[in-house]
Amino acid sequence: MPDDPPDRLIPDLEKPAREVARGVFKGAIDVWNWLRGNSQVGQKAGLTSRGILVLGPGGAGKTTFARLIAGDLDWLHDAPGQYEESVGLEHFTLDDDPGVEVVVAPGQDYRRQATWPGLLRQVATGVYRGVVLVNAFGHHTFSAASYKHHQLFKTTKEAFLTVYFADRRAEEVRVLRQLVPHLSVCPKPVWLLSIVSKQDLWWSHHGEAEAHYQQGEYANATGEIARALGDRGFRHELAFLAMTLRNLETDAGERLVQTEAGYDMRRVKTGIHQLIRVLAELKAWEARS
Amino acid sequence: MSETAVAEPPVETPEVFAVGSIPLLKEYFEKVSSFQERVRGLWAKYNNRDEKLSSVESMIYRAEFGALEQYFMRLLPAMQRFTQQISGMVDQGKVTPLVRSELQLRLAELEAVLTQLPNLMQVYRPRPIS
Repeated sequence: MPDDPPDRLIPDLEKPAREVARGVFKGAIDVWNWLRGNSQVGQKAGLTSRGILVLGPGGAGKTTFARLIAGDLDWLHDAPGQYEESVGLEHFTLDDDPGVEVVVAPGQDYRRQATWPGLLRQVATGVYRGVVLVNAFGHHTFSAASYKHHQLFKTTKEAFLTVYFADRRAEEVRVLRQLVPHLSVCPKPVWLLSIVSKQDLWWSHHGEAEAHYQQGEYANATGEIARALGDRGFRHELAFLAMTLRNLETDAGERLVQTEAGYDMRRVKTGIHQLIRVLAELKAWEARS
Repeated sequence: MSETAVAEPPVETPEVFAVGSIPLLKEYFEKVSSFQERVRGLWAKYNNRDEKLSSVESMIYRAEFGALEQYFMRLLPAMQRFTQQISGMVDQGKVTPLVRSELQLRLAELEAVLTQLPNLMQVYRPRPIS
């Protein structure tokens, strides 16, 4: 694969790419305004000061999601780039409205111990109007230089990937389980959006992926919150999508999984449109709650 | 979930990587700590006094600060890449519990300085000449 062009050669492309990314959400102006806390319904309900918290295991795509909804995702420039792990809390403001904040917490287990307890307490007291839990059907990018450095690697790459994806799917459920007791006591209406990203890497298994999140342990956990808060206090939605097209590779350049043949920008667009429909559902639910 | 059959790049064993990382973590923690002190020292030398800087002193301060900033900005991408690899080893790497703890502690020290240095440099950056 050729090296990425140096930054100085592509500034003319960056601006239009950002405009495209922003346009995806601004095209759905109601949803965009709602995300920005601008809707009349939101203002009337006093929800404008409540932000959105983005959680999930490391390497699942939290920062990419936050950048997408903040209108800061640059498809032309970001797609082939290196994975950048979040070290601490990241704060994104939505477009030009600094009053509405999207907070992204680091996902690595040992980093969670330092940052998540305070955030989870905030969830329990209703600081956030919504929590976005970013998953990737186990296809998490990891920071170790090589898959051969990973504790689950024993013999071959193929055997490693099977065990690794299963382990990371279990980690996604563990993260949700960590959230359940805090969301279950939230005193204000709150929604949970489960994003299942990196669809371009697992598209041929989409039936299995959908069943994984819609049935079994994941669904049981969200069901517990729904039972605790009731329909007016809690709403859960799922969205399956690829936010960008990117092979799963290690820092050493080992290709673990590549974007599936036939998964093109049209499918990316379909996924983003599905996300917008889901956000519209959440917006309508907030208005009713 | 298809894969290509391209040759894989050579990589060290996890043991070699971990053992080789520890002296590098120590070395770069010392470098960035010393760099932090140099930035503070430079500010104290040129700003921690009552009289205004002469135009020559101001130019020297700007040039010295610029040299330090260049040095840091050239090191930063490689340090970020290295610390991310260490983070991966702490989080999911094949290392013994003692090595994992040592990597986590040394990484915390280095990251604490690395994440704060850009703010520090922003505060100590010479102001535009009015």
